[in-house]
Amino acid sequence: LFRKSLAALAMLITVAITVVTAFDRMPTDAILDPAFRARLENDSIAFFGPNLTSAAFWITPFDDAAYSSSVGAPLMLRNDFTVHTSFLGELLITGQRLLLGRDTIVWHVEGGAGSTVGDVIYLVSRVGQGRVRVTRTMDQLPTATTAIGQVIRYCDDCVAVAAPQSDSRGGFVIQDAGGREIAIVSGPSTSDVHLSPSEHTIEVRNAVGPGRPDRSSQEIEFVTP
Amino acid sequence: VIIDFFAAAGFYLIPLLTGRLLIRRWLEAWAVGSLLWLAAVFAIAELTSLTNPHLFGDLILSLAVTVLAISIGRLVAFARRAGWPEVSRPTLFATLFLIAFGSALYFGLWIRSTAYPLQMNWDSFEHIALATQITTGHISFFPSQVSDTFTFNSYSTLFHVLLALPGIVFHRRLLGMYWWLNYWHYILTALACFWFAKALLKSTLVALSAALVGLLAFESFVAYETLFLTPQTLAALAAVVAIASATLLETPSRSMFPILCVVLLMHYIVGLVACAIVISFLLLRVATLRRLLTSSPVQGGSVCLLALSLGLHALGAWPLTSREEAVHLLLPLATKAQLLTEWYGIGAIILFAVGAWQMSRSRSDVQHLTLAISMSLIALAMAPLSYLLKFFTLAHYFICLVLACGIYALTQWFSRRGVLLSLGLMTVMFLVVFYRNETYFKEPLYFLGSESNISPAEVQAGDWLSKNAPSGSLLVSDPSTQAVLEAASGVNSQGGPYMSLETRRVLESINRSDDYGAVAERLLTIQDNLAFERQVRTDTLFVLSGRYFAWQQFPSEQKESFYYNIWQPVLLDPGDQGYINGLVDSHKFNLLYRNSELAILRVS
Repeated sequence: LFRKSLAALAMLITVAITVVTAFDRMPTDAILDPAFRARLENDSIAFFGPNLTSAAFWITPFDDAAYSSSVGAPLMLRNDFTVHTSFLGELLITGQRLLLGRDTIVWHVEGGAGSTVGDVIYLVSRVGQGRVRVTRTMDQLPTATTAIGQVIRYCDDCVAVAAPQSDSRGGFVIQDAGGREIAIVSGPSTSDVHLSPSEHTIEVRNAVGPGRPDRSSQEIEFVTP
Repeated sequence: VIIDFFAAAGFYLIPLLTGRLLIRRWLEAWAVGSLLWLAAVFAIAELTSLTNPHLFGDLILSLAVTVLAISIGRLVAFARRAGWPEVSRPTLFATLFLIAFGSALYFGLWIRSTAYPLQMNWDSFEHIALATQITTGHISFFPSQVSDTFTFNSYSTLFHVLLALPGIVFHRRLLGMYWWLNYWHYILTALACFWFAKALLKSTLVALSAALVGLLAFESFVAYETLFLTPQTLAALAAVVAIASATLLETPSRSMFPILCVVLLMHYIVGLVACAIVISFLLLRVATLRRLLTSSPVQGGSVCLLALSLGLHALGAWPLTSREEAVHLLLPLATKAQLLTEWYGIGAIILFAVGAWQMSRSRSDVQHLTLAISMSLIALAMAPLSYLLKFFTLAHYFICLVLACGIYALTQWFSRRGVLLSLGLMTVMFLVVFYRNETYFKEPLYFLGSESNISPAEVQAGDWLSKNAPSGSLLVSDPSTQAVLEAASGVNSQGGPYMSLETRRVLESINRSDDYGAVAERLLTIQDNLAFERQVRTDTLFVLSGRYFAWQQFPSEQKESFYYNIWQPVLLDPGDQGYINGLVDSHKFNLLYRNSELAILRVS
């Protein structure tokens, strides 16, 4: 019985450490779609067009901002953050991907002492062919916060132009270095969309306040080649 | 698709059935048949070069059909007379289970986003390019003399002759055939692993465990065992089957000679080590050598070899050749160790240790030798020299066997139900490791919904070229476009993915140049390295692909390197399209073909 128990224990330990380490290294850091690819990088979520030659734009908590009246502060400071991963989260995402075909990236970032918010969880989900929803859930949002600015920083060689008036979605079109239209960034009718060509950013600003969750979402539509 | 399925089976069956005319034993027959076809292709190529080169394919086809008809007829007559060989029920069940499970894994997981005839192995393109040359009657013992896609002769052209044969017999292009060949290879490796373990350990359950581990352990870097058919993986497969055959069926030693020849011709380095391993198992038949090979010093020596190999990392690392890419394949010990945990899972360390302990305590000389070879192969593969990871093609089978022994050692006190439950648990564990490993390998290849080195648009362009390109045309583009289009179309290029430094510099000099006349002149200076290709040169076809423009954005030193390539397809963007329009409008180039990823222009 002792040998049997010992063997069973060794087997369970072997299986457990193998499965946990495999899931820990599971490539759950990318969403693949014919029109785009979203990938977690060291300090951002990068979005590519159909070509993987270079990223077209990025989303980071260092660009996103919390506004008190009209004064904005970045959610976190660059180089002062910690990324959290979870075995159960990886297991869940892999299971969803395998069994339900649902593509999701979760990026949990905890800010340092100088951050405006404690934690931000970015949830990037593919919500249809060529479309992603980026949801930010924030912890310890300052009570005086009136709006959340969701910023997309597009690449140095890219350009953003106003969508043609015929396009009912409005917003801005991001073109890559070669002039290909990569994505259309727009916001809900209640939000403000700001383009800053000098900063290479597009900001969708949504109001938050009492009775509203500390969460904001935006959808980005990619141009299918 | 169906014809290519059978054509791919012909890769194994044509030499096998040819050899069966002379020899009854299957493996020996396959080896003899392979060598006979190598000789026949040389003879017919020589004959037709003196008379009419266009007769080469017809003569090969006639010979193959005649030989196959006689062989199949004899086989049927023999089967009616003597009956089919009897197979025990557990072995039959295990074999069918492995085929079913392997097929489900292969189609359900591995190539679920790699439709026919897309490819995920970069090396397959150069093998296809060489075999395509052989189908037209160009043959030499040295690959580099048949196609300048090869710059190094680390094997003979035997593999490519076997690849060309079904192409000629079934009149098929090789890209689609190769898609199926990888599947056949995968299933055969599982069956070989089963047979190998059964021969050495005499237990169907342990052999089944070894084969299951074999199906789920993919050496996804350099070695590419088990999911890709290459000369090195085929050499390892043949060697392992030879060991199983020698041990289980007690095949006479002299029958091993043609098999060893084939293994060696398939890949000189892997083949040499494989031959040494096969011979060491044959030497077990000699009582005095048996004692020597399974003695404690040999066992201890393999452990010392492993320690030495790991210790050498502290002293430095050495590229085996002067090839520039060799430097990039010098991996530190930590990286190699990480690769091992990614291929087999971190728990494999425990299973390997338990398995090795179990085997060392066994009274079986075969198990002692197997363990010593396993340790020695790992030592060899882990040493700080480039390319040595290739030895995992052989080590794969030995490691799977030791791991299966480890599983057996842990489950030997369990009830039958407990054993089955444990096996199920282990299978799930290795399945998770495999899923992680294969996803990680394929993800960078994703492009427009497919995971492949070549896109459907490139396959279509290859089809168009094979039908419309004038005979003697030379393709010119970046290395990766040349690699995929030469394989997909059969149209020659200078060097394929291994284009010469001169060609690279010509391409670099014309990057985005709007002096279209000078661009055309520079392109016409590009020459194939092989004289017979230069003599038949007619048109120059300049292929401007998304890959080409992406490659042109590399820094100069990367453009001049074999190591840096555009590994996945790329769409042309409006800027690229504008440049192509400029070339066409200059009248120095004629537009022949265009799609979303490339344009083919003839240099006027």
